[in-house]
Amino acid sequence: MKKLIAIFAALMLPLTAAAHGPSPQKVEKTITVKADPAKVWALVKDFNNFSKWHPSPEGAKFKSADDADMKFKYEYDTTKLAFGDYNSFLTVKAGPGAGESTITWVARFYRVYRLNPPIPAGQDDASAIKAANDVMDAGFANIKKLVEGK
Amino acid sequence: MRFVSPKRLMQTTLATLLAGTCLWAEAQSYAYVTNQGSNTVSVIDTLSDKVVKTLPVGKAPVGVVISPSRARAYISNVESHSVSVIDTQALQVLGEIPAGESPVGLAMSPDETVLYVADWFDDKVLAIEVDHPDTIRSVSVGRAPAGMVASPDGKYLYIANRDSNDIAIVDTAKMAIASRIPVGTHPFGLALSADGNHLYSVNVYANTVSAIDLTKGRVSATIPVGDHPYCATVSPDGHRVYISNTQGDSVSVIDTANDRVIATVPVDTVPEGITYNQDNHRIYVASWGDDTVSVIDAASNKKLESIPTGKQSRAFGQFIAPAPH
Repeated sequence: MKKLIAIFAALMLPLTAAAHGPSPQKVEKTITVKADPAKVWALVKDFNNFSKWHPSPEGAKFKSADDADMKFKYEYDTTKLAFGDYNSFLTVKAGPGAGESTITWVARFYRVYRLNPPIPAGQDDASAIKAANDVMDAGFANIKKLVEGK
Repeated sequence: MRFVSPKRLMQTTLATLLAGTCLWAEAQSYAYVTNQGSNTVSVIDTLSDKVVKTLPVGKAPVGVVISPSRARAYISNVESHSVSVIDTQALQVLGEIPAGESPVGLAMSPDETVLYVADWFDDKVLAIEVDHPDTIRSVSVGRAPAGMVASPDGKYLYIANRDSNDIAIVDTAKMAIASRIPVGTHPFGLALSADGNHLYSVNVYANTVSAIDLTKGRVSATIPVGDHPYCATVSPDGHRVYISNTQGDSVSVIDTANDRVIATVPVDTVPEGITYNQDNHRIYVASWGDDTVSVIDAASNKKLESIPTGKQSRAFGQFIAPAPH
Protein backbone atom coordinates (compact mmCIF):
# COMPACT_ATOMS: atom_id res chain seq x y z
CA MET A 1 0.00 0.00 0.00
CA LYS A 2 2.78 2.38 0.94
CA LYS A 3 4.46 1.57 -2.33
CA LEU A 4 1.25 2.32 -4.20
CA ILE A 5 0.94 5.70 -2.51
CA ALA A 6 4.54 6.48 -3.42
CA ILE A 7 3.87 5.65 -7.07
CA PHE A 8 0.71 7.70 -7.01
CA ALA A 9 2.54 10.64 -5.43
CA ALA A 10 5.28 10.38 -8.04
CA LEU A 11 2.68 10.42 -10.79
CA MET A 12 0.86 13.40 -9.32
CA LEU A 13 3.94 15.49 -8.69
CA PRO A 14 4.68 16.74 -12.21
CA LEU A 15 1.06 17.83 -12.67
CA THR A 16 0.78 19.82 -9.48
CA ALA A 17 4.22 21.33 -9.97
CA ALA A 18 3.15 22.52 -13.39
CA ALA A 19 -0.21 24.11 -12.71
CA HIS A 20 -0.95 27.31 -10.85
CA GLY A 21 -3.68 29.85 -10.24
CA PRO A 22 -4.82 32.32 -12.84
CA SER A 23 -3.50 35.55 -11.30
CA PRO A 24 0.19 36.21 -10.63
CA GLN A 25 0.84 38.18 -7.45
CA LYS A 26 3.27 41.04 -7.05
CA VAL A 27 5.25 42.49 -4.17
CA GLU A 28 7.50 45.51 -4.63
CA LYS A 29 9.63 47.02 -1.87
CA THR A 30 12.26 49.72 -1.67
CA ILE A 31 14.94 50.46 0.89
CA THR A 32 17.59 53.17 1.22
CA VAL A 33 21.00 52.20 2.59
CA LYS A 34 23.96 54.34 3.58
CA ALA A 35 26.51 52.86 1.17
CA ASP A 36 27.81 53.59 -2.32
CA PRO A 37 25.83 51.98 -5.17
CA ALA A 38 28.99 50.23 -6.40
CA LYS A 39 29.41 48.50 -3.05
CA VAL A 40 25.74 47.50 -2.86
CA TRP A 41 25.73 46.27 -6.45
CA ALA A 42 28.90 44.23 -5.88
CA LEU A 43 27.10 42.35 -3.10
CA VAL A 44 23.72 41.93 -4.80
CA LYS A 45 25.02 40.76 -8.19
CA ASP A 46 27.42 38.13 -6.81
CA PHE A 47 25.45 34.90 -6.64
CA ASN A 48 28.24 33.32 -4.55
CA ASN A 49 27.18 35.73 -1.80
CA PHE A 50 23.46 35.11 -2.26
CA SER A 51 23.08 32.99 0.87
CA LYS A 52 24.68 35.77 2.94
CA TRP A 53 21.67 38.01 2.47
CA HIS A 54 18.76 35.95 1.09
CA PRO A 55 16.73 33.98 3.67
CA SER A 56 16.09 30.27 2.89
CA PRO A 57 18.31 30.45 -0.23
CA GLU A 58 17.91 26.79 -1.24
CA GLY A 59 16.14 26.51 -4.58
CA ALA A 60 17.22 29.92 -5.87
CA LYS A 61 18.60 30.03 -9.40
CA PHE A 62 20.70 32.83 -10.87
CA LYS A 63 19.22 34.35 -14.04
CA SER A 64 21.17 37.49 -14.91
CA ALA A 65 23.15 40.45 -13.56
CA ASP A 66 23.24 43.55 -15.74
CA ASP A 67 26.00 45.97 -14.73
CA ALA A 68 24.68 48.84 -16.89
CA ASP A 69 21.24 48.81 -15.26
CA MET A 70 22.47 47.34 -11.93
CA LYS A 71 19.66 44.80 -12.22
CA PHE A 72 19.93 41.29 -10.75
CA LYS A 73 17.39 38.59 -11.63
CA TYR A 74 16.77 35.24 -10.02
CA GLU A 75 14.22 32.43 -9.91
CA TYR A 76 13.19 30.73 -6.72
CA ASP A 77 11.82 27.20 -6.65
CA THR A 78 11.12 26.44 -3.01
CA THR A 79 8.56 24.30 -1.23
CA LYS A 80 9.41 25.80 2.17
CA LEU A 81 7.52 29.05 1.69
CA ALA A 82 3.90 29.85 0.86
CA PHE A 83 4.42 30.70 -2.81
CA GLY A 84 5.34 29.08 -6.13
CA ASP A 85 6.67 30.03 -9.58
CA TYR A 86 8.60 32.86 -7.93
CA ASN A 87 10.52 35.13 -10.26
CA SER A 88 12.22 38.25 -8.98
CA PHE A 89 14.67 41.07 -9.58
CA LEU A 90 16.53 43.73 -7.59
CA THR A 91 17.82 47.05 -8.91
CA VAL A 92 20.33 49.38 -7.28
CA LYS A 93 20.26 53.13 -7.89
CA ALA A 94 22.33 56.02 -6.53
CA GLY A 95 20.70 58.35 -4.03
CA PRO A 96 18.63 59.96 -2.69
CA GLY A 97 21.56 61.43 -0.68
CA ALA A 98 25.29 61.39 -1.41
CA GLY A 99 26.83 58.03 -0.55
CA GLU A 100 23.39 56.42 -0.40
CA SER A 101 21.75 53.75 -2.50
CA THR A 102 18.14 52.86 -3.20
CA ILE A 103 17.40 49.18 -3.68
CA THR A 104 14.12 48.11 -5.28
CA TRP A 105 13.00 44.49 -5.06
CA VAL A 106 10.14 43.17 -7.21
CA ALA A 107 8.73 39.63 -7.17
CA ARG A 108 6.12 37.88 -9.30
CA PHE A 109 4.75 34.62 -7.95
CA TYR A 110 1.63 32.49 -7.49
CA ARG A 111 -0.12 31.11 -4.46
CA VAL A 112 0.56 27.49 -3.43
CA TYR A 113 -2.95 26.07 -3.94
CA ARG A 114 -3.33 25.08 -7.56
CA LEU A 115 -6.84 23.69 -7.83
CA ASN A 116 -10.43 24.79 -7.69
CA PRO A 117 -11.61 26.90 -4.74
CA PRO A 118 -12.24 26.61 -1.77
CA ILE A 119 -8.62 27.42 -1.04
CA PRO A 120 -7.11 25.87 2.13
CA ALA A 121 -5.85 28.28 4.80
CA GLY A 122 -2.21 29.23 4.36
CA GLN A 123 -2.22 28.48 0.62
CA ASP A 124 -4.12 31.51 -0.65
CA ASP A 125 -2.95 34.73 -2.31
CA ALA A 126 -2.71 36.59 1.01
CA SER A 127 -0.39 33.93 2.48
CA ALA A 128 1.80 34.02 -0.63
CA ILE A 129 2.03 37.82 -0.49
CA LYS A 130 2.92 37.71 3.21
CA ALA A 131 5.66 35.12 2.59
CA ALA A 132 7.15 37.25 -0.21
CA ASN A 133 7.06 40.32 2.05
CA ASP A 134 8.84 38.38 4.81
CA VAL A 135 11.61 37.28 2.41
CA MET A 136 12.18 40.87 1.31
CA ASP A 137 12.14 42.31 4.85
CA ALA A 138 14.71 39.76 6.04
CA GLY A 139 16.79 40.09 2.87
CA PHE A 140 16.83 43.88 3.04
CA ALA A 141 17.85 43.79 6.71
CA ASN A 142 20.77 41.51 5.83
CA ILE A 143 21.89 43.65 2.89
CA LYS A 144 21.72 46.79 5.03
CA LYS A 145 23.86 45.20 7.72
CA LEU A 146 26.42 43.91 5.21
CA VAL A 147 26.86 47.11 3.17
CA GLU A 148 26.71 49.58 6.03
CA GLY A 149 29.36 47.44 7.72
CA LYS A 150 28.29 48.03 11.26
CA MET B 1 -8.18 27.69 -55.32
CA ARG B 2 -10.53 28.91 -52.72
CA PHE B 3 -14.21 29.60 -53.37
CA VAL B 4 -15.36 33.03 -52.33
CA SER B 5 -19.10 33.45 -51.97
CA PRO B 6 -20.80 36.57 -53.40
CA LYS B 7 -21.86 37.44 -49.84
CA ARG B 8 -18.29 37.15 -48.62
CA LEU B 9 -17.14 39.29 -51.52
CA MET B 10 -19.71 41.95 -50.61
CA GLN B 11 -18.52 41.93 -47.03
CA THR B 12 -14.90 42.28 -48.15
CA THR B 13 -15.77 45.15 -50.49
CA LEU B 14 -17.74 46.84 -47.75
CA ALA B 15 -14.91 46.37 -45.28
CA THR B 16 -12.43 47.85 -47.76
CA LEU B 17 -14.73 50.83 -48.33
CA LEU B 18 -15.14 51.34 -44.61
CA ALA B 19 -11.40 51.07 -44.06
CA GLY B 20 -10.91 53.73 -46.75
CA THR B 21 -13.43 56.03 -45.08
CA CYS B 22 -11.65 55.62 -41.76
CA LEU B 23 -8.32 56.50 -43.33
CA TRP B 24 -9.80 59.58 -44.90
CA ALA B 25 -11.28 60.62 -41.55
CA GLU B 26 -7.85 60.06 -39.94
CA ALA B 27 -7.41 56.54 -38.64
CA GLN B 28 -7.63 56.22 -34.92
CA SER B 29 -7.69 53.26 -32.63
CA TYR B 30 -8.21 52.74 -28.93
CA ALA B 31 -6.37 50.20 -26.80
CA TYR B 32 -8.15 48.57 -23.86
CA VAL B 33 -5.64 47.54 -21.20
CA THR B 34 -6.72 45.46 -18.19
CA ASN B 35 -5.06 46.40 -14.90
CA GLN B 36 -5.10 43.40 -12.56
CA GLY B 37 -3.95 45.38 -9.51
CA SER B 38 -6.31 48.35 -9.96
CA ASN B 39 -9.44 46.50 -11.15
CA THR B 40 -9.67 48.92 -14.06
CA VAL B 41 -9.25 49.19 -17.82
CA SER B 42 -7.01 51.96 -19.20
CA VAL B 43 -8.29 53.22 -22.56
CA ILE B 44 -5.40 54.52 -24.69
CA ASP B 45 -5.94 56.76 -27.71
CA THR B 46 -3.24 55.52 -30.10
CA LEU B 47 -3.10 58.86 -31.94
CA SER B 48 -1.76 60.62 -28.86
CA ASP B 49 -0.57 57.44 -27.07
CA LYS B 50 -2.19 58.71 -23.88
CA VAL B 51 -4.74 57.22 -21.51
CA VAL B 52 -8.00 59.05 -22.23
CA LYS B 53 -10.21 57.17 -19.79
CA THR B 54 -9.93 54.71 -16.91
CA LEU B 55 -12.94 52.43 -16.46
CA PRO B 56 -13.74 50.45 -13.29
CA VAL B 57 -14.35 46.74 -13.97
CA GLY B 58 -14.46 43.55 -11.86
CA LYS B 59 -11.69 41.98 -9.75
CA ALA B 60 -8.33 40.99 -11.27
CA PRO B 61 -9.24 41.75 -14.90
CA VAL B 62 -7.08 39.88 -17.41
CA GLY B 63 -8.59 39.08 -20.83
CA VAL B 64 -9.82 41.46 -23.54
CA VAL B 65 -11.75 40.94 -26.74
CA ILE B 66 -13.26 43.63 -28.93
CA SER B 67 -16.40 43.55 -31.02
CA PRO B 68 -15.72 46.51 -33.34
CA SER B 69 -18.92 46.59 -35.41
CA ARG B 70 -21.09 46.44 -32.29
CA ALA B 71 -18.83 48.89 -30.40
CA ARG B 72 -18.21 46.60 -27.46
CA ALA B 73 -15.15 45.50 -25.48
CA TYR B 74 -15.40 42.48 -23.19
CA ILE B 75 -13.14 42.11 -20.17
CA SER B 76 -12.69 38.89 -18.15
CA ASN B 77 -12.59 39.43 -14.37
CA VAL B 78 -11.03 36.23 -13.07
CA GLU B 79 -11.77 36.89 -9.38
CA SER B 80 -15.28 38.24 -9.91
CA HIS B 81 -16.16 35.21 -12.09
CA SER B 82 -17.59 37.62 -14.63
CA VAL B 83 -17.15 39.53 -17.87
CA SER B 84 -17.49 43.33 -17.94
CA VAL B 85 -19.11 44.82 -21.03
CA ILE B 86 -17.76 48.17 -22.24
CA ASP B 87 -19.50 50.45 -24.74
CA THR B 88 -16.55 51.61 -26.86
CA GLN B 89 -18.51 54.53 -28.29
CA ALA B 90 -19.57 56.06 -24.97
CA LEU B 91 -16.48 54.69 -23.16
CA GLN B 92 -18.69 53.41 -20.37
CA VAL B 93 -19.12 50.11 -18.59
CA LEU B 94 -22.58 48.75 -19.38
CA GLY B 95 -22.51 45.94 -16.83
CA GLU B 96 -21.15 42.57 -15.82
CA ILE B 97 -22.30 39.15 -16.93
CA PRO B 98 -21.59 35.93 -14.97
CA ALA B 99 -19.00 33.81 -16.78
CA GLY B 100 -18.05 30.53 -15.11
CA GLU B 101 -15.63 29.99 -12.24
CA SER B 102 -12.41 31.65 -13.42
CA PRO B 103 -12.68 33.40 -16.79
CA VAL B 104 -9.27 34.18 -18.33
CA GLY B 105 -9.01 34.00 -22.15
CA LEU B 106 -11.68 35.54 -24.39
CA ALA B 107 -12.52 35.25 -28.08
CA MET B 108 -15.28 36.53 -30.34
CA SER B 109 -17.02 34.82 -33.24
CA PRO B 110 -16.32 36.74 -36.50
CA ASP B 111 -20.04 37.67 -36.77
CA GLU B 112 -19.68 39.12 -33.25
CA THR B 113 -22.68 37.24 -31.84
CA VAL B 114 -20.88 34.69 -29.63
CA LEU B 115 -18.39 35.44 -26.87
CA TYR B 116 -16.08 32.55 -25.98
CA VAL B 117 -14.76 32.42 -22.41
CA ALA B 118 -11.99 30.07 -21.26
CA ASP B 119 -12.64 28.86 -17.72
CA TRP B 120 -9.21 28.19 -16.22
CA PHE B 121 -10.25 26.04 -13.26
CA ASP B 122 -13.21 24.21 -14.78
CA ASP B 123 -11.25 23.27 -17.92
CA LYS B 124 -14.16 24.36 -20.08
CA VAL B 125 -14.88 26.89 -22.76
CA LEU B 126 -18.20 28.70 -22.57
CA ALA B 127 -20.00 30.09 -25.61
CA ILE B 128 -22.18 33.02 -24.54
CA GLU B 129 -24.72 34.59 -26.92
CA VAL B 130 -23.96 38.29 -26.52
CA ASP B 131 -27.61 39.26 -27.15
CA HIS B 132 -28.83 36.59 -24.70
CA PRO B 133 -26.11 36.19 -22.05
CA ASP B 134 -28.20 33.51 -20.30
CA THR B 135 -27.79 31.24 -23.31
CA ILE B 136 -24.54 29.46 -22.61
CA ARG B 137 -23.17 26.35 -24.26
CA SER B 138 -19.95 24.74 -23.07
CA VAL B 139 -17.33 22.17 -24.00
CA SER B 140 -14.64 20.49 -21.89
CA VAL B 141 -11.34 21.15 -23.61
CA GLY B 142 -8.14 20.43 -21.69
CA ARG B 143 -6.44 21.51 -18.48
CA ALA B 144 -6.20 25.26 -17.85
CA PRO B 145 -7.49 26.65 -21.16
CA ALA B 146 -5.91 30.05 -21.78
CA GLY B 147 -5.53 31.83 -25.15
CA MET B 148 -8.25 31.44 -27.78
CA VAL B 149 -8.98 32.66 -31.29
CA ALA B 150 -11.76 31.91 -33.79
CA SER B 151 -11.16 31.01 -37.44
CA PRO B 152 -12.16 33.79 -39.91
CA ASP B 153 -15.16 31.72 -41.09
CA GLY B 154 -16.26 31.16 -37.50
CA LYS B 155 -16.40 27.38 -37.87
CA TYR B 156 -13.55 26.66 -35.49
CA LEU B 157 -12.22 27.92 -32.21
CA TYR B 158 -8.56 27.32 -31.36
CA ILE B 159 -7.72 26.94 -27.67
CA ALA B 160 -4.32 26.74 -25.96
CA ASN B 161 -4.56 24.28 -23.06
CA ARG B 162 -1.76 25.38 -20.78
CA ASP B 163 -1.50 22.28 -18.67
CA SER B 164 -2.32 19.75 -21.41
CA ASN B 165 0.39 21.07 -23.77
CA ASP B 166 -1.89 21.07 -26.77
CA ILE B 167 -4.18 23.16 -28.94
CA ALA B 168 -7.80 22.01 -29.02
CA ILE B 169 -9.73 22.74 -32.21
CA VAL B 170 -13.41 23.06 -31.42
CA ASP B 171 -16.18 22.74 -33.99
CA THR B 172 -18.24 25.76 -32.92
CA ALA B 173 -21.54 24.50 -34.43
CA LYS B 174 -21.38 21.30 -32.37
CA MET B 175 -19.33 22.76 -29.50
CA ALA B 176 -17.23 19.59 -29.65
CA ILE B 177 -13.52 18.92 -30.05
CA ALA B 178 -12.69 18.29 -33.70
CA SER B 179 -8.98 17.61 -33.15
CA ARG B 180 -5.95 18.34 -31.00
CA ILE B 181 -2.47 19.45 -31.96
CA PRO B 182 0.38 18.83 -29.47
CA VAL B 183 2.67 21.84 -28.98
CA GLY B 184 5.50 22.81 -26.58
CA THR B 185 5.13 22.84 -22.80
CA HIS B 186 2.63 25.32 -21.35
CA PRO B 187 1.00 27.00 -24.32
CA PHE B 188 -0.61 30.26 -23.16
CA GLY B 189 -1.08 32.95 -25.82
CA LEU B 190 -2.36 32.29 -29.34
CA ALA B 191 -2.39 34.43 -32.47
CA LEU B 192 -3.80 33.77 -35.91
CA SER B 193 -2.77 35.23 -39.27
CA ALA B 194 -5.45 37.29 -41.05
CA ASP B 195 -5.89 34.61 -43.75
CA GLY B 196 -6.65 32.09 -41.00
CA ASN B 197 -3.96 29.65 -42.17
CA HIS B 198 -1.21 30.17 -39.62
CA LEU B 199 -1.66 29.79 -35.89
CA TYR B 200 1.09 30.65 -33.40
CA SER B 201 1.17 29.07 -29.96
CA VAL B 202 3.40 30.62 -27.29
CA ASN B 203 4.89 27.90 -25.06
CA VAL B 204 5.83 29.43 -21.70
CA TYR B 205 8.05 26.72 -20.20
CA ALA B 206 9.59 25.60 -23.49
CA ASN B 207 10.66 29.16 -24.39
CA THR B 208 9.38 28.50 -27.91
CA VAL B 209 6.62 29.37 -30.36
CA SER B 210 4.91 26.58 -32.31
CA ALA B 211 4.01 27.74 -35.81
CA ILE B 212 1.01 25.67 -36.89
CA ASP B 213 0.05 25.23 -40.52
CA LEU B 214 -3.72 24.88 -40.24
CA THR B 215 -4.10 23.79 -43.86
CA LYS B 216 -2.10 20.68 -42.89
CA GLY B 217 -3.19 20.54 -39.25
CA ARG B 218 0.31 20.24 -37.85
CA VAL B 219 3.22 22.18 -36.36
CA SER B 220 5.43 23.39 -39.21
CA ALA B 221 8.16 25.03 -37.10
CA THR B 222 9.22 25.35 -33.47
CA ILE B 223 10.88 28.70 -32.98
CA PRO B 224 13.11 29.47 -29.96
CA VAL B 225 12.22 32.89 -28.49
CA GLY B 226 13.00 34.69 -25.19
CA ASP B 227 12.62 33.70 -21.54
CA HIS B 228 9.10 32.66 -20.45
CA PRO B 229 7.23 33.90 -23.53
CA TYR B 230 3.54 34.61 -23.03
CA CYS B 231 1.54 36.26 -25.80
CA ALA B 232 1.65 36.82 -29.56
CA THR B 233 0.35 39.13 -32.28
CA VAL B 234 0.63 38.86 -36.08
CA SER B 235 1.14 41.82 -38.43
CA PRO B 236 -1.82 42.31 -40.82
CA ASP B 237 0.32 41.18 -43.81
CA GLY B 238 1.30 38.02 -41.91
CA HIS B 239 5.04 38.66 -42.38
CA ARG B 240 5.87 39.25 -38.73
CA VAL B 241 4.89 37.73 -35.40
CA TYR B 242 5.68 39.54 -32.16
CA ILE B 243 6.14 37.62 -28.91
CA SER B 244 6.24 39.04 -25.37
CA ASN B 245 8.90 37.42 -23.15
CA THR B 246 7.78 37.86 -19.54
CA GLN B 247 11.11 37.03 -17.92
CA GLY B 248 13.25 38.31 -20.77
CA ASP B 249 11.65 41.77 -20.52
CA SER B 250 11.67 41.84 -24.31
CA VAL B 251 9.67 41.25 -27.49
CA SER B 252 10.91 38.72 -30.07
CA VAL B 253 10.19 39.64 -33.69
CA ILE B 254 9.72 36.59 -35.93
CA ASP B 255 10.06 36.72 -39.70
CA THR B 256 7.45 34.23 -40.94
CA ALA B 257 9.28 33.74 -44.28
CA ASN B 258 11.89 31.60 -42.52
CA ASP B 259 10.36 31.27 -39.01
CA ARG B 260 13.33 32.92 -37.31
CA VAL B 261 13.70 35.67 -34.73
CA ILE B 262 15.15 38.70 -36.53
CA ALA B 263 15.11 41.16 -33.61
CA THR B 264 14.73 41.19 -29.84
CA VAL B 265 13.38 44.50 -28.55
CA PRO B 266 13.95 45.43 -24.89
CA VAL B 267 10.67 46.62 -23.30
CA ASP B 268 9.34 47.40 -19.81
CA THR B 269 9.34 44.69 -17.14
CA VAL B 270 7.23 41.51 -17.44
CA PRO B 271 5.56 42.14 -20.81
CA GLU B 272 2.28 40.23 -21.24
CA GLY B 273 -0.55 41.09 -23.69
CA ILE B 274 0.62 42.29 -27.10
CA THR B 275 -1.25 43.71 -30.12
CA TYR B 276 -0.25 45.09 -33.52
CA ASN B 277 -2.02 48.35 -34.32
CA GLN B 278 -2.45 48.55 -38.07
CA ASP B 279 -3.36 52.25 -38.03
CA ASN B 280 0.11 53.42 -37.01
CA HIS B 281 2.15 50.22 -37.44
CA ARG B 282 3.12 50.15 -33.82
CA ILE B 283 3.06 47.23 -31.44
CA TYR B 284 1.59 47.76 -27.98
CA VAL B 285 2.62 45.48 -25.11
CA ALA B 286 1.36 45.67 -21.52
CA SER B 287 4.08 45.52 -18.84
CA TRP B 288 2.76 43.88 -15.70
CA GLY B 289 5.96 44.67 -13.81
CA ASP B 290 6.14 48.40 -14.55
CA ASP B 291 2.43 49.32 -14.84
CA THR B 292 2.92 50.61 -18.37
CA VAL B 293 2.35 49.84 -22.03
CA SER B 294 5.51 49.81 -24.17
CA VAL B 295 5.11 51.03 -27.75
CA ILE B 296 7.30 49.52 -30.50
CA ASP B 297 7.80 50.92 -33.99
CA ALA B 298 7.30 48.09 -36.51
CA ALA B 299 9.64 49.69 -39.08
CA SER B 300 12.67 50.05 -36.80
CA ASN B 301 11.88 47.37 -34.17
CA LYS B 302 12.67 49.93 -31.47
CA LYS B 303 10.75 50.87 -28.37
CA LEU B 304 9.40 54.41 -28.82
CA GLU B 305 7.85 55.15 -25.44
CA SER B 306 6.12 53.90 -22.30
CA ILE B 307 2.52 54.81 -21.45
CA PRO B 308 1.67 54.69 -17.73
CA THR B 309 -1.44 52.58 -17.00
CA GLY B 310 -3.07 51.14 -13.88
CA LYS B 311 -1.34 48.56 -11.72
CA GLN B 312 -0.21 45.20 -13.12
CA SER B 313 -1.39 45.70 -16.67
CA ARG B 314 -2.02 42.42 -18.53
CA ALA B 315 -4.22 42.99 -21.60
CA PHE B 316 -4.47 39.31 -22.52
CA GLY B 317 -5.91 39.21 -26.04
CA GLN B 318 -5.95 41.42 -29.14
CA PHE B 319 -6.82 44.63 -27.31
CA ILE B 320 -6.87 47.39 -29.96
CA ALA B 321 -9.86 48.36 -32.11
CA PRO B 322 -11.07 51.32 -34.17
CA ALA B 323 -12.07 54.31 -32.07
CA PRO B 324 -15.69 55.40 -31.98
CA HIS B 325 -16.75 57.96 -34.59
